[in-house]
Amino acid sequence: MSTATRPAAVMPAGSNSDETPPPWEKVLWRRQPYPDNYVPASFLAELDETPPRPRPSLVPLLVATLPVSQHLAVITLFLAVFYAMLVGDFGATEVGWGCCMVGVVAYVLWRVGWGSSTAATRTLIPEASAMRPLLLPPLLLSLLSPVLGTLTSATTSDSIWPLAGGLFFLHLLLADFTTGPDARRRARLRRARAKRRRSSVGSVDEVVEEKSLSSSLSLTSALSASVVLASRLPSTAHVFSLILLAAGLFAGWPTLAKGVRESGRSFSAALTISMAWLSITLLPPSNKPHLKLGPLSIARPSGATLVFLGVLLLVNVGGPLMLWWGWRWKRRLDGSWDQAVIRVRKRRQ
Amino acid sequence: MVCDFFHPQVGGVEGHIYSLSVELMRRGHKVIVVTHHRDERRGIRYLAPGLKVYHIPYVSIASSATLPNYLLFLPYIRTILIRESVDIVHGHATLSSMAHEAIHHAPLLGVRTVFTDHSLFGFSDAVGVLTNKLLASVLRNVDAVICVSNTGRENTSLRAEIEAERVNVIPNALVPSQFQPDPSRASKEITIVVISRLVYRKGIDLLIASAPTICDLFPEVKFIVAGDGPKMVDLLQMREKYELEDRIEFVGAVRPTDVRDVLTSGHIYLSTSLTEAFGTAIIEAACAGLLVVASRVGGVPEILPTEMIEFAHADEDDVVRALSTAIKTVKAGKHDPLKAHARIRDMYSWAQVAERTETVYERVMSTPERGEGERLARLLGLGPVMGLIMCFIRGVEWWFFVVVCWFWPADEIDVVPAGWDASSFGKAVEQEKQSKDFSQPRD
Repeated sequence: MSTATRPAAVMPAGSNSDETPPPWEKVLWRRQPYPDNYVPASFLAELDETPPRPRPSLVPLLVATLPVSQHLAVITLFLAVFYAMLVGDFGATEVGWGCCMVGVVAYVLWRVGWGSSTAATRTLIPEASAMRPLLLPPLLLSLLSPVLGTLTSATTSDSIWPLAGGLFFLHLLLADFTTGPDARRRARLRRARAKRRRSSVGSVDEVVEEKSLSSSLSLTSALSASVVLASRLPSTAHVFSLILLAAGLFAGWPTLAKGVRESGRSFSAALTISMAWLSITLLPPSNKPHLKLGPLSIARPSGATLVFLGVLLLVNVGGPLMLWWGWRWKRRLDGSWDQAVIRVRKRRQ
Repeated sequence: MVCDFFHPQVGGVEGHIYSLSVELMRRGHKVIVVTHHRDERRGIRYLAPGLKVYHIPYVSIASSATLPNYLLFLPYIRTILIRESVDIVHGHATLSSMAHEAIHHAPLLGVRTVFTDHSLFGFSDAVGVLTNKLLASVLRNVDAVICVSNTGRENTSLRAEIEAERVNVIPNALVPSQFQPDPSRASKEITIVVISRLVYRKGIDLLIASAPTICDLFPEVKFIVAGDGPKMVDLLQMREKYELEDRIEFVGAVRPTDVRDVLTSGHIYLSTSLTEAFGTAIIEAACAGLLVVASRVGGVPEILPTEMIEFAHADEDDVVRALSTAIKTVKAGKHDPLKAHARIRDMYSWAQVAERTETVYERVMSTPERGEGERLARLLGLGPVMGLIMCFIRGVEWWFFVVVCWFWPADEIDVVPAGWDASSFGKAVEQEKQSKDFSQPRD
């Protein structure tokens, strides 16, 4: 077939045009009567251009970005409270008591369980009493807050703002946005279960759900950012309230939010909207006059609100749309040059 | 010849450049090699039959590759190209940034460019994604590309997005006299030889999985494993677990000169590599009279006729099957090492490679040169981001070239007189033969 379709120009010079050359073969050990840059008809025949997976529909993509928006809203909430404390709109007492109230409610909610996500687990170590995690951290914090407040107070504010910004960015970058157990954790659980079946000892059912390194780093960077910011506040009571808020928002809230997200899409959307709403109400208002729309009087959005809304829009709508649009360039090229995949039988022990 | 990888380092690319250069010199061409310096080896050196090597003062990073910097190589390469009155720059190896930069700079001096790609890359891993873009930017304006196998050609033309007509296939070769079979050395029991770096890419896991089964099936079979690497531990564990200490022998890393001795002590050569552009080790083994069992990857299916090689998939059971077939063939006495050697001797020779490369050079020299505008336009075709970046680099490079020309005018550079031809090469070879075996490169 190849000899019939190829033009005579690619034949090597000096070959006898009367006798047809043997068909080209994909071998190197034999010299063939074709030039080295001869393009055979079978060129790239082994190319396996598998079509990519079909483009995901837009709604799941939008839903998948909701956790990021929730996180953004939490950071904004924290910053809004911090600003209010800095300028004196909020006192230390208000914030501290607010944290306590919401914290207790959230804790009870978490203990009772949101939906069906809590499974009874038995561990070797006896269960801590319900009150311990409620009492211990605030006490510790009240001891530490004078130290935390003066830790970076010698540093100028010019250095504090970018440092806090960078730490919050790191926090956002490393945060754990997964909803439900992801594939890797499921595989690890399956392996652990299989191992337990084989071994006779250690029949205690322990569900291994360890925190990943990145999520711990994320929490650490968020707490560092709040400590750094706390040094700008006027009193130790302020510092205590702010760090308590940070601990609640960055350590406690993600677990609760995950439970809410796992309950369903509508819950996730509702949580996002309510968190965003709460953050916006706490942001400093604009000092321009209200917009008059007939009987309605709407507050003009301030600069901070506009920035927040813009980022939310970018993350929650812009991101999915970009992925959706960029899907057209997704393709896979497989061929005989790919690294082979080893198949080895599982050995019987 | 420009490449980061060259002697005294040992490897496939290094050997290829050396052998090709020697053969091209034999055909009456003037060949110089440009590489970076290595410890004590600096400045200009000569390798055995008068091959001139420039060692540029560049610091190498990992595995003897240098950092790409696009511009700083220009003063060096310009001086060398003018001094030696070079017509063609031939870069080697995808991961050699020196070769890439030489190909970028050469057109400024009106020198034509050829590139040889020695390896295969995938499209989905990080290395592939990054180097493919760099390679594409280099090969946009190269005059000809040479690949070592048809599979490599398909891979390169896809990776670098170039027309298939510009890519030539010229296989690697070997020096058959270095791999003379010696049936008298082989032991009575059937010996399977493995010579490879012991790393994942060479499919050592397949060897670990299949060796116990083979030892179980054929009590008269022995293994000799030469080479070293991270997978050595796993191999040792396997040997201990199945108590195969007297059946599997480890000889450690072997020098290139000793490869033949290891090969001729066996009957079957096993290559379980997971990716291979050409597989020089396989034809070396076949040349030494061994029956080859190899995994069907990359360019391996092209290099030997089917009666000299037994293919296996990257599957434990299939490796066992292929090895069993090979062992039965050898037992039945159906494989004649001397005949195999004679066949390989006619298949591959560096003289043939040099002749085919010369044809490529001639074709390159006969085609008209591209203008600077056309080059820029082709670079822009790389894409809206990469194309613009490359055009900027090209612009800076051009101004840098003007500065270099003003600082070191071309007429102040001494030109090396042309006094080298085939007859003086013959004299050098005679001289060398009297003192040492010339096949071994040395200063």
